Amino acid sequence: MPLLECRGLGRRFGGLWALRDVDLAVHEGEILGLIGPNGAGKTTLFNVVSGVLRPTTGTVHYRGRRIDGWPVHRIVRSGLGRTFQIPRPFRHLPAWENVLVALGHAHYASLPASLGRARTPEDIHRALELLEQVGLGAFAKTPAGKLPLGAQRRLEIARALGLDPALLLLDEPMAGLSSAESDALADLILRLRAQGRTIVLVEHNVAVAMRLCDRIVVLHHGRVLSEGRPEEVRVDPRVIEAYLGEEADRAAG
Amino acid sequence: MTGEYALTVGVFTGIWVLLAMGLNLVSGYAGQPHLGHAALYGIGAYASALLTTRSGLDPWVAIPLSVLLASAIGLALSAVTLRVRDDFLAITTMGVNFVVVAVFLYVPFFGGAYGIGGVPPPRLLGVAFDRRAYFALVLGAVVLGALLDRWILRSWLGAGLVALRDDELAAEASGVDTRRFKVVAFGIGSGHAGLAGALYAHFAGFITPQDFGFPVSITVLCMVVLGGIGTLRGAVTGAVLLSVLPELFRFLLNYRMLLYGLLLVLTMRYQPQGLLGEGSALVGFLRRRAVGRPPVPRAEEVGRAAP
Amino acid sequence: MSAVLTQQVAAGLVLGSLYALLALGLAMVYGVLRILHVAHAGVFAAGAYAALVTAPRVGAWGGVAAAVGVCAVGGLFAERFVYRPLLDQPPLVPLIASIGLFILVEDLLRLVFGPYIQAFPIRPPLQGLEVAGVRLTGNDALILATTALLLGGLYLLLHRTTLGLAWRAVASDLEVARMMGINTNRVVALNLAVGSALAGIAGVLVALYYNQVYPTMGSVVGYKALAIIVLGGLGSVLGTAAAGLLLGVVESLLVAQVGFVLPRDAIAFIALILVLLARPRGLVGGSA
Repeated sequence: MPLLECRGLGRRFGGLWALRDVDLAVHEGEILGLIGPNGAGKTTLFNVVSGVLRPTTGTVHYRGRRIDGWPVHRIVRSGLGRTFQIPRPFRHLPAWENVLVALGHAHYASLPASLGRARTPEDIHRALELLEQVGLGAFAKTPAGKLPLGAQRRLEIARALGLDPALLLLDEPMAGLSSAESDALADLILRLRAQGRTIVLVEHNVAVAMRLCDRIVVLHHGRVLSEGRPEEVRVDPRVIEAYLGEEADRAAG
Repeated sequence: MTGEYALTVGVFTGIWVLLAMGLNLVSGYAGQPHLGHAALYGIGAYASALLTTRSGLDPWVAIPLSVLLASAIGLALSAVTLRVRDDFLAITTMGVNFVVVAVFLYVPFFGGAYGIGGVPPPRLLGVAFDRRAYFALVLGAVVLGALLDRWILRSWLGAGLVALRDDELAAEASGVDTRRFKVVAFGIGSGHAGLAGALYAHFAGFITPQDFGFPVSITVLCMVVLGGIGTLRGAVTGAVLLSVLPELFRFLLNYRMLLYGLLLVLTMRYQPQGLLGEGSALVGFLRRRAVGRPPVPRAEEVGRAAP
Repeated sequence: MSAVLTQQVAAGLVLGSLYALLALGLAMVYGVLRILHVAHAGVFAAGAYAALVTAPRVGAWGGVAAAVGVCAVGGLFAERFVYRPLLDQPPLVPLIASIGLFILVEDLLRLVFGPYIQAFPIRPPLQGLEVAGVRLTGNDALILATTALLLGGLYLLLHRTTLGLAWRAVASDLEVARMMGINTNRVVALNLAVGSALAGIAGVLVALYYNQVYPTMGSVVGYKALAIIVLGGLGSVLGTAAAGLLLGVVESLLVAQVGFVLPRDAIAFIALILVLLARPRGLVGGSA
């Protein structure tokens, strides 16, 4: 059984279908890349899967249970973590507290549990550990709003890790990073997979996606255009045309 | 200032502090703009007044019941208005204030414009509370409230509230049930207001609808924001300041509102985080040990993990 | 429709026009700044006083000009020195600043002019008339005509001029508008000036209507105006005008028809709460 399954997923905004008839399966332990030109619907897909948006058509199943229609916090507490394309840190909180918020996820489920004491030494220890994992150990006390963009992206990942997610949705984590930072992040993603997690990656940089991912799904105008192993997708004529078409449009201006 | 008068000021200050602490939970922590706090204040007051004068309940029973009632109504109110956007919420809560006061004023059950009179003071061993005893009572209530708030701020509820104040979507994506937390914060904050109301009713002996009008909501909001939004010390300080200063500066009575307005504008302009808020000039100056803030870890304490 | 009912509706429209004029400025400010400009009510009262003071010397039109001038300047001042520096603060901060400003202005008016109610000396230039069986006083006619003209003018300005386009762009998204080369500061300043000028005119008309000027005259109508802009969808000019007119008519009818006395302030808020429960985005929801 796939870890995550989307069947006939569609999402409409007014007259525009951002997603249409999307069938997608994510298998445990894989790194799946989601690529496509701008406006293809990649972030919309993430938003629908994570519960930020409700699907107009279709269903989302996670571990065999139907999760579309669940509130975001419930989906996230079941082991599905996500980052945002433009990082959304808790600006006024220091980095370690950003991670701490996610660490408390088990406690938020019920009122008595949420009255338990937070910020115990164990909690703090775990938060610092996660920060170290993404290379932000030195910035633990820095207010998140003051961190540079690359650091904020990594903080997002650390925070998502606080949920101990089985499935991680990363929305363009490499955007705006230097090549050294990108490499470090790629290593981190591989390490996370080695921990037993499953990763879905939206990536604009096709080369990176090809290198890192086991499987690729190409979205175009909200539909699945192609899917398969990177080598297969790369030579798929439909994919080439879609991207070339993009190039031509941009050249024509 | 005579002793008796000082005690009266003390009691009222304590009541303002309770109100400010409650509003701090809703607006300072959960970040919900709440312009109707006085409505819950009034509900607590009228509930306790009516329970003691009409149903003959003992104040010691009526007061806790009023707190529960105010909390319950606050919970219901919040749950219902949750769909309303933040900007709208401010005005909606304002509307609730007006509507509640109108109900007190026009529904005969609540005594109309004359309000409720003859509200008995609490008694201990047959002796009615005098001013000194009442001050002790109010002080006790404030301490109780502060302990509760401190507990909340240190709990996961507090962590979730602070997160959702900064970024609600990110908080949701971190597992925080923002809807429930907002409602709970509103309920607890309303409980504070209800307690303040009940204590007011039994001290003053009579209450009228105007005691709980929109200007009171604004005053409490100003106390919270002036003192330092989102901090317990700020709420307390703001309440004490705005409650005691007018008494100390009686000679300025004619210019009081002018100065008050000026104070608000200047503080927001130059110290928007409040006098004792996070990162304010005053706090920076006085910083030694933060009150109400959790301990910040040092990486050295925990040891560095292998890369 | 019976003659009495029509008369009441007409009276309601007059009242509603006053509400609409006042609420419009508020909606305009919210549209571009996303700030609840509570001090608007203070500007409104200041306008009435400006006319009160100058009209005996420079005549009725001079008084109106003075009101418009004083209010526009007041609005510009508030924008430049209070709101603009606070744009990136959480919304509670400019709200409290606005409240402080309002208290300040109200108290200044009290200190300068005294706390008592004064009569308004201007006589309306229009005679009473009868339209379709409805009797209108000179004041009524003046109010209706002025409001219609101003609303029409504002609509034309917003939808037929380049300035109006820039205005709507800023209201839609300040950052993007700025990036497109629009001088957002100037547009916002103009917005505040025009909105405040409308408040000044509303102040003169209200003073005329009730023949009363007093320092706290802003409070009563001001709170209602806040309810109106929310009903109108926060920022929508058309919605606000409609909500204001509707409220005036509803108040007028309710007070006349219903047996017991409902507090008129509460009507606005009861309506607001009911509408928001049914439609959380307001009557004309989902605008900029």
